[in-house]
Amino acid sequence: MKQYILILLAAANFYTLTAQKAIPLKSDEIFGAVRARQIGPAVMSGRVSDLEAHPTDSKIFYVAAAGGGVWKTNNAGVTFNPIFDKHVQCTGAIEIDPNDPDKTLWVGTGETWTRNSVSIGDGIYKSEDGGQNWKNMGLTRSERISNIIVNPKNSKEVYVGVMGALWGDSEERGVYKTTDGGLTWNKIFYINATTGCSELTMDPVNPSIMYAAFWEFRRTAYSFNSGGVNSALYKTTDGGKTWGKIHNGFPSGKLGRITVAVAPSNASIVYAVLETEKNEDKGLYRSDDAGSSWKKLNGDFELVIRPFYFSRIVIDPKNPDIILKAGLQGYMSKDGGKTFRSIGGGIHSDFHDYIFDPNDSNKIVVGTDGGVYRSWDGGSVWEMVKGLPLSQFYHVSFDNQKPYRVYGGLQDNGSWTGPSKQVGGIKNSDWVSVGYGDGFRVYPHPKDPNTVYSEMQGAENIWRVDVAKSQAKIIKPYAEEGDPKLRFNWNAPLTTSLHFPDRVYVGSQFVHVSDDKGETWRKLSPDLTTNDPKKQLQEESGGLSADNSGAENHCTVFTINESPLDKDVIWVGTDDGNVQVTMDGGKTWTNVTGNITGVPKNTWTYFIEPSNFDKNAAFVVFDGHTQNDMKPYVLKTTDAGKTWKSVVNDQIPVFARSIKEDLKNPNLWYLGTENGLYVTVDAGQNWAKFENNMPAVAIHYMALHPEENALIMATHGRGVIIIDDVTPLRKITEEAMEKELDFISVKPTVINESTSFQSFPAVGEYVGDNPTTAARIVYFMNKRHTFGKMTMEVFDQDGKKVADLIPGKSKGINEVQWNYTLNPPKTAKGKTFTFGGFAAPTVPAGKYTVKINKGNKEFTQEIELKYDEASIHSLEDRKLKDEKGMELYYMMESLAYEVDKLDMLQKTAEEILPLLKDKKLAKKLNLQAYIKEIEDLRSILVITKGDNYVGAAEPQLREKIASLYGEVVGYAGKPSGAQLANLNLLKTKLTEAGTKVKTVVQKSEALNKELLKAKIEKTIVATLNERA
Amino acid sequence: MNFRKNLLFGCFVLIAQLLSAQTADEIINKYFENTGGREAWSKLTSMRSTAKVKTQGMEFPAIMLSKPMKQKISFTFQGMTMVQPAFDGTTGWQTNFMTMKAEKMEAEDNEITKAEVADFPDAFLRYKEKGYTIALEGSETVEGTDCFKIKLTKKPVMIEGKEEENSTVYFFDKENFIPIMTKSIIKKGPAKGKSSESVFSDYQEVNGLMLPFTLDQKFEGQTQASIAIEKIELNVDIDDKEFVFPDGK
Repeated sequence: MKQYILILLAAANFYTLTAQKAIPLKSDEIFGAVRARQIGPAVMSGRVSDLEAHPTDSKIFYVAAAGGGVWKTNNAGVTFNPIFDKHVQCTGAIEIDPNDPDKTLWVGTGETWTRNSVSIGDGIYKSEDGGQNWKNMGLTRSERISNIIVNPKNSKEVYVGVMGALWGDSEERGVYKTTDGGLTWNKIFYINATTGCSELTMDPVNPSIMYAAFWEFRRTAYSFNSGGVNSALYKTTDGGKTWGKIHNGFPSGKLGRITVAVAPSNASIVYAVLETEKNEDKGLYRSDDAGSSWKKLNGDFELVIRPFYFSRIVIDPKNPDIILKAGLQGYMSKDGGKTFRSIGGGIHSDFHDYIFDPNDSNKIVVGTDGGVYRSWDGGSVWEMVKGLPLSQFYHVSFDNQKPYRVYGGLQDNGSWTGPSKQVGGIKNSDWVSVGYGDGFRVYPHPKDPNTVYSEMQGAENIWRVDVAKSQAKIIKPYAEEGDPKLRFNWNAPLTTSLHFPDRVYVGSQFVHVSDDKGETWRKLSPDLTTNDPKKQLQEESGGLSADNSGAENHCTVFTINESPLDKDVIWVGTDDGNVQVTMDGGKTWTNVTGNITGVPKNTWTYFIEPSNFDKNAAFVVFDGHTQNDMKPYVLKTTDAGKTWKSVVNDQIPVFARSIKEDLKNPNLWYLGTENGLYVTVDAGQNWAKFENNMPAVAIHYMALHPEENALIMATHGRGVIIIDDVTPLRKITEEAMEKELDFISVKPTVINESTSFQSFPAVGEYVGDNPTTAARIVYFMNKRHTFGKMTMEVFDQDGKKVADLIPGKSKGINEVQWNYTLNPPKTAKGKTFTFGGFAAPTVPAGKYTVKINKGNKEFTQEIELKYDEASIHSLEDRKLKDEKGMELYYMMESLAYEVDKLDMLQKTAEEILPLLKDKKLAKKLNLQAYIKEIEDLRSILVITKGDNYVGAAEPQLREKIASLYGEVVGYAGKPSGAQLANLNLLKTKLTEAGTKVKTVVQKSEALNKELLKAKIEKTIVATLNERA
Repeated sequence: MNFRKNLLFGCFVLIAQLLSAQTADEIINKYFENTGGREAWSKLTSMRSTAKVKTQGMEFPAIMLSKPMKQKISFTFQGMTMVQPAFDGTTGWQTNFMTMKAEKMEAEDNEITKAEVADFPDAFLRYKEKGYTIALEGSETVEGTDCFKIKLTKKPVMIEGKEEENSTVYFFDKENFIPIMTKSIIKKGPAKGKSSESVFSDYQEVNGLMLPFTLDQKFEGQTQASIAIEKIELNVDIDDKEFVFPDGK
């Protein structure tokens, strides 16, 4: 069927006269073995929006992340599995069906903690198999779902609170109900297009009683408003048919965000936290009559702080007087809200949700901006979950070390650098902090990776860090005489130069440049923004609660990028929609915004990618989501901005933030969208989603490593994700796709020579995968090979076979990994294992031929193995190792051969024993003595007793040879003098053993003569079995 | 062009309809038809496969024996045979690598293995009699190939004292109606909740049955071990003693 679609598409495209031939891709048929690698980290984890505990089983709970999907633990929080990777990773509400808690789960997408960097959802999902498979059940335009409640008496009946759109009006808000398990939905309560349901909660006893908080709220790129005349708290007692305000005891005037919770152990006790017009009215209110009347109890800081971010209270399931409030820190009351104490000191701030263990209220779990923490003592001390890689990167860069390191900044979690590869995997402890506060753009000095530039929000600080010496110097530019106030974005552009190693660029409304690593600065441009005064009123931001954090700073430069081809060409994009370019190193700037059509005015210029192939070409990615416009806008110019052409189509369903043009193939582009990675190989005519180990996560920034051919992605919720080698993607052409089998050459493999040291896994701690060290054999197939043999062999340059591999048979790109070793030697059979015998010698560097036999066809390809240039070993050392290693290898096999002979002699002799009916003959031959002689000889050649652990017997010749063999081939360099001397000794011993075996064999010949004489049909033999 | 387009579109619609009309049972029927027929499958009384297992750069011989309610998988390392595991109809066991002696499976694992062994000669053969259910769960592309997704649910098993569903999803190639992958969720231990996949290829005929000769064992989509079968013998004599737990040996 697919062929027909391909033909149809190909036929249709035949008539589109484009320079590049269209190549429609179906990602799951093409990308095959090209797989993304997740490296985390989880050292700082990331923002958690919601937690949900299994109603009875303390071992199970779920975590919904703001940008990192949904995770499930089966062991009370030691390890977690991601269970929502194929879907939108911005999640905000999880509900376990209380009627079917092991299987039926609901997830509401879209986060409700509406900070500036919040992402969007695409509706409600249901799983009926414990989270393995999910189905979108609608409400796709809800943007953010606040709560899902399944009727505890009827699984088909589900109520959903929809908060709705953050940046615009929306009618998809309010309370929704399904009575058919989510097939259809009715909006049962709606206020207006600006006011959404921010919290929905149900009476613990009577499912007809519900409380709904409604919130009037709005964000723009430059402002935030919380509160209005429509914010209110409602109650229904008839399953949502009618709702009434329950404000008896609330102050008059506008209200903001309200959180409400009913005590699970006493339905009359209801708590609400109000954001009100007057500061003195803000705080915790309690009702002891199920909402009929309210009394204000407390207005402490933690109760009133940032309602848009912290509106949640959780009540102990057994004690109605124990209340937990989300906040900057945790806040707990044990007296029904009269007094509170702080909990959670010393751990990451910004608490969003809690769960109590259903069986023991001393066990509490909290979700924060820095991941999940567990307390076993009622909240005094917290233990961090170190296995949740929810890190929300804004940006990523790399250096040229080997292995290279990556750099980036995170939401509320500073700036970091970590290795792309590390012995034993990339652990949390391998990451080094190089900043403070919220982190954004981080760059190493192009020539000196010990010097790193980092920044915090609004460029309040920009640092030049000496990593080794732990020194950070503040190097930000200041307004000069006559300058207006500098306006820096929350996520201010900071970048190094491709042409001048000591250069640093920073953007305010101006472009600032330093040519001395940030010591002195000059303005390289005039104000490049629209400088609209109406969009510069951040002080008024927040609504009923002032919130002037700098997060809404606007009319700022957002992206600065030099052309890799010309130092004088610099592209600048601003958050208010300008695209500016200089072709003369900043002397003159051209605002080319007016030449762009099809993009709404003032759409945020998120990223500009100057072309790697043409200095007049560039790509611009506009992000309209802060204008409530979720469409992707990616345009390309080839005439320095005079004309533009859109390069995305409806295959991209959501807004994008970043694009990379490949460094080698001008038609291969990578697009980072809010819901994952898309790839085109035909210059934007067709896009395919890349899903191999790549969650549908927001990608804020990407970088391409030119030497490693690696695509490095900064995801906002799943850490750094890397495609280690994009070479196969560069080779996807129509011709390749038509071939039965087409090899793709990748760069030579550097032989891994490192020793692996002992390490016990730190269970529960996240360990990022390493790239493979194996040789990769990559090929494309146009159809899966399902029937009949398909084999893969590797030959050295002399045509000698060195490996038999099992080929991949998938349609699309296959990758077979070869660890460039021979099979271990045939080892003499003993009573126990000899561990050295499991060692496999590494083949020498050089060229090897891979041969695939498929049906009656043969396909060959050359691959190359190289030695590490930075290795401590010389070629001579390695040669000696190879020679001596192979000498020992053959000694192992010789001994196996001798022992085989003994085994055969003994076996055949034993078979003759019962045939010797004539006692005289039996006595004369004395086969028992002969057998004993064989056994005695064997016992000095191999171990014949004991076990593989502490019951081990004394090592014999096999063990001695195997041990030396394992030592010599297990080290990449020169064997020690002592090892070489030992080798000579063992060689003598082996020769002696051979002589002894020979004697025994000769004896068998004499015995056989006697047997023949006595007309016994069988003889004693030492059959020469397959000698390698 | 238009004619061709219409024709192609017609084909497309027709094929799409054909495909959408499949039920789980029809797919299973096709599977048996295409692999030798139900009758041949029903007559299968035993199977011996000789294979090489490749994992982490090592290669070692393996023998797999199957009979109704009996199974034994043994590997040979340095000339010594390790059973991993065997089931004799009542008792499951395996060789301890330290002592090289046979040890019984834990009671719960024993029951899980018992449920596993009951599949012989094929999980789908007389599945209703075995108390299994099947359901078509749509389509999915695996190995670049469009597949029907059929979920096979057996009787529940006890996991850590709690009754849990015992199911495996089979991916049947839409072109040939044979499974190219199975996927199940690991039920216990440190990897609980993660997925385990078996990928089948090199289908060849053995005495009238089409059987896969290569099996890749994957964990979360990453190959852990590959089994290259060299020989499959059907309906051979296998002594029941082969499977019996060798107490103390």
